[in-house]
Amino acid sequence: MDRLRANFGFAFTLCIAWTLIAFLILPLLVVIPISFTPERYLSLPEGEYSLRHYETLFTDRMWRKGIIDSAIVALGASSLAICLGTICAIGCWKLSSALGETIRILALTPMIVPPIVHALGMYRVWVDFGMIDSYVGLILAHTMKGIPFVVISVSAVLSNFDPRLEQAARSLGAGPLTAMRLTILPNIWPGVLAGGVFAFAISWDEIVVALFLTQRNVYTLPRQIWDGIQDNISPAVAAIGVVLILATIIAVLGKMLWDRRMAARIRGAA
Amino acid sequence: MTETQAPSGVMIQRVVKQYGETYALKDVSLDIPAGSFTTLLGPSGSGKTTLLMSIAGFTRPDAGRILANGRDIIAMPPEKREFGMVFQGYALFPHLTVAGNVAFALKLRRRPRAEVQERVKRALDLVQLGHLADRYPRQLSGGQQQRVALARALVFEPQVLLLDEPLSALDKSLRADLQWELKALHARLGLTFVYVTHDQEEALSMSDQIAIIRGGEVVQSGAPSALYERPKTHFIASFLGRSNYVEGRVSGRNGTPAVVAGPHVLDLPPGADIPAEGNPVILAIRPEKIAVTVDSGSGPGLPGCLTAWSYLGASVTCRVATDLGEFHVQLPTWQAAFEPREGQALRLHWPPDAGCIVRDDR
Amino acid sequence: MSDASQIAAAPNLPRMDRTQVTVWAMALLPIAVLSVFYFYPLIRVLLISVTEPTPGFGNYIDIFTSSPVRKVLSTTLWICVVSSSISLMLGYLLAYAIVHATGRWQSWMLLAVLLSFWVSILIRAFAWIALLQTRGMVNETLQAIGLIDDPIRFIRNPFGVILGMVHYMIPYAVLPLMANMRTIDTRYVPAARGLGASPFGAFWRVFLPLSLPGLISAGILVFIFSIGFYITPALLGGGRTTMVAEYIALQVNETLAWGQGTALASSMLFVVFTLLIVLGRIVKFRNMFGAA
Repeated sequence: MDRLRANFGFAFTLCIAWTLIAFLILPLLVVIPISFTPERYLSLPEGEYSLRHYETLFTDRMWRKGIIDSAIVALGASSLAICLGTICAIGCWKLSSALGETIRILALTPMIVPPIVHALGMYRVWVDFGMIDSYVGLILAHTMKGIPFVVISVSAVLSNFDPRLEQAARSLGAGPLTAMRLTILPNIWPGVLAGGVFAFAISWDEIVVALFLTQRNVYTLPRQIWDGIQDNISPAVAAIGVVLILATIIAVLGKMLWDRRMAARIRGAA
Repeated sequence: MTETQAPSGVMIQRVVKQYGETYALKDVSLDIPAGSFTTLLGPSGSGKTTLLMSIAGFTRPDAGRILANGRDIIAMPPEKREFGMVFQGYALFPHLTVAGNVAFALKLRRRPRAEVQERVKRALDLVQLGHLADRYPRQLSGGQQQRVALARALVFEPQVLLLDEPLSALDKSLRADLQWELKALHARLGLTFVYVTHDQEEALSMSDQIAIIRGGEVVQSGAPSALYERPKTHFIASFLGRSNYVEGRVSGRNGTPAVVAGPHVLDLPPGADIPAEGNPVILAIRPEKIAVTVDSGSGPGLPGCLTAWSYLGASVTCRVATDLGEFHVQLPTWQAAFEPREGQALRLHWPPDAGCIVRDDR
Repeated sequence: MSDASQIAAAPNLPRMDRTQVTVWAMALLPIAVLSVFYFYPLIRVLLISVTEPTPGFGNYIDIFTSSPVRKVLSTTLWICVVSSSISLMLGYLLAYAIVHATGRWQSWMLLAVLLSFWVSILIRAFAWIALLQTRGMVNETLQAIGLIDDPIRFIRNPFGVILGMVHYMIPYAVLPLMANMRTIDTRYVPAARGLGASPFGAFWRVFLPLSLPGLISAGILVFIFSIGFYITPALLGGGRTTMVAEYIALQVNETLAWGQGTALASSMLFVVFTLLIVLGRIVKFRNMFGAA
């Protein structure tokens, strides 16, 4: 490693890497100045700054509805996805490997199918079920999209889980479900939580399915942003962008600190 | 702790377990007497763990019966069997403290809080860990974890304790200490212990009964000394300790059967089940049963030549090349009647009853 | 001791106990829910494609003969190939740098990638529009300092779409590539150096071949992902550079041609699953997702 780090080639690679990171991050920062413009149209503030677009997010009826609806849908969908995904991951883990693997791959399909394809199908089926433009309808659709992420993160944690813990609980007198509740759940919750956050984020951001399944009754934030970009490129989008990016930074930093704490705890134990 | 029941034994009758085409257990029968310390001994993959897991209820045999207290428990889920179990690697709950681990079974049984505390304390005292009740398993050493696992399995007063290689993760000296402790615990509690191990010394030192398992079958079971002294097969003779083997054919010399091997005619142990004349036979002789004299040119005994020797403190092990193959001879140091020297000509002697006819199952 | 007839004569037990029933129920309940609310809709798409407006494979014949569809498909194909190749190359470089960087730098680089990974696709598109439209920040700056007279058209063309897609997909390439590179024993490269390889030689002969399976699988993943892009082409292509997902939405929403739309969607599904099967041959799914 030392030799690698010292050599010129790797220094060059590092330069390119940082350029790439600048390419990934810097363009996003443009939303910051725009969000403070006093104008109604997309522009950079010139000497004068205003918080009017942030105000819009909370006072404008549609922006407020967007935030509230997104919260409702994302909370509902991630809760359901947590339940179904966790059950599925545990079930697959306990089944014989080949079968469990097949079922798990089935449960991962929603992650890999292009959104437009399931959006079309869901639209037609949701019409039959009378679920178009309803909270239940969108929550269910987003639940399907969230399940794979819960399955993946719970499966990852389960792969390090000692199945003998559950057997130990059984031998001490716990029935099958009690044993799972008392041994598996207390030990896999970091994975469940991570999967749930993932599912929440997926739903919070989801736009393609929402465009097909909702009209005016349910109006999530991404739809509001979509309209904000398509109609007149409103600077309010920059304001919500700043808020969302800040939330992302906090979440990612929080996750990193959390990981470090967990790692320290494991190291401290050893 | 008031109800003192007689410990229950376990009867295993014709148990079969198949995984696809391979038999993990093929027609296993074994009687585990109440209050005994029975060890299931076998190499890895022999089926000993499958058998233990069938007794515990985690593996479901395809056929056969497992009786405890005269009842067939084969379809009974593990939690109903009330067998204590110490798992390989201990399987302590990482999210619970030592006390929490031990209290687990009692809380499931909804015992009153005061009773739980009392019994947890007693169980921890039994394994001398009362002072560590509030630690988490990851803060304990391997030996301490092992004791917690024992306390946890014993706290609900099972009649049978199943132990799956409980000492395999520990280093040698600790393992020896814990062997004594386990044995003492068995004597004190009077429970039936079913112990799985692949370590033959462990099995010999602790058990009342050993069942040797190989290829999904119980090859031989009995008291450790019986197995050691009278192994039925070649496999057992080499798995439990070491042996020298002489392969030959049965001959009826002067009416007394003997083994003809190469130019030599060797006595057969008296009272053994001897195959008919002319059949191949394998004679196993333990290294420590062979006596050595310096070769004086002629006389009784099997002549050989010392090729290597090693000093082991309490004993000396010699390798002796004979025309029946290489012999290992173990001589107590305090008895060694000669100074070993490489290339020395020796004669090997053993009484007829030191040999043992073993079935060829190589 | 035991022969087959004796074993068969022993009492046979019921095949499943309560525990196994519970486990099956756990694994299958979510699959049942997915079947109703996910797989059934997918099947509906396939069904519509062969039943509307008339039963048969007319829609498929139409989409492969109609010239606007062929134009959309060829646009989609080349944009996907270009954008996923660029994302993969840049992603490989970034992943390599992150895996080999020292502790503190590594954390910061990873933080940046994760941040970019999580930012909404809509906000990204918005940022690019704000920067690159004809009256956007880049053009205005360039004009202000006198480098150009007329604004450059950055978006509403394939360039804008590719830029947006690459920007979005790089983190998706970096994360699996990193997971793969972390499985490569760090002693191999120094070992190769010790045997006389130059730094680049060690990379080329040792590290690259070892990371090849990861590179291929990340490449297929990114490509599969690129095929379905809808939002980025719709916003940065500005109606001029139309990719297949957006075209399907237009067919269904504007011309109500569900038959053609679903036939295209079904073909997309077919391509994606074919690629997945290829991917499955290269890597075990378990390894791929276990690392995530």
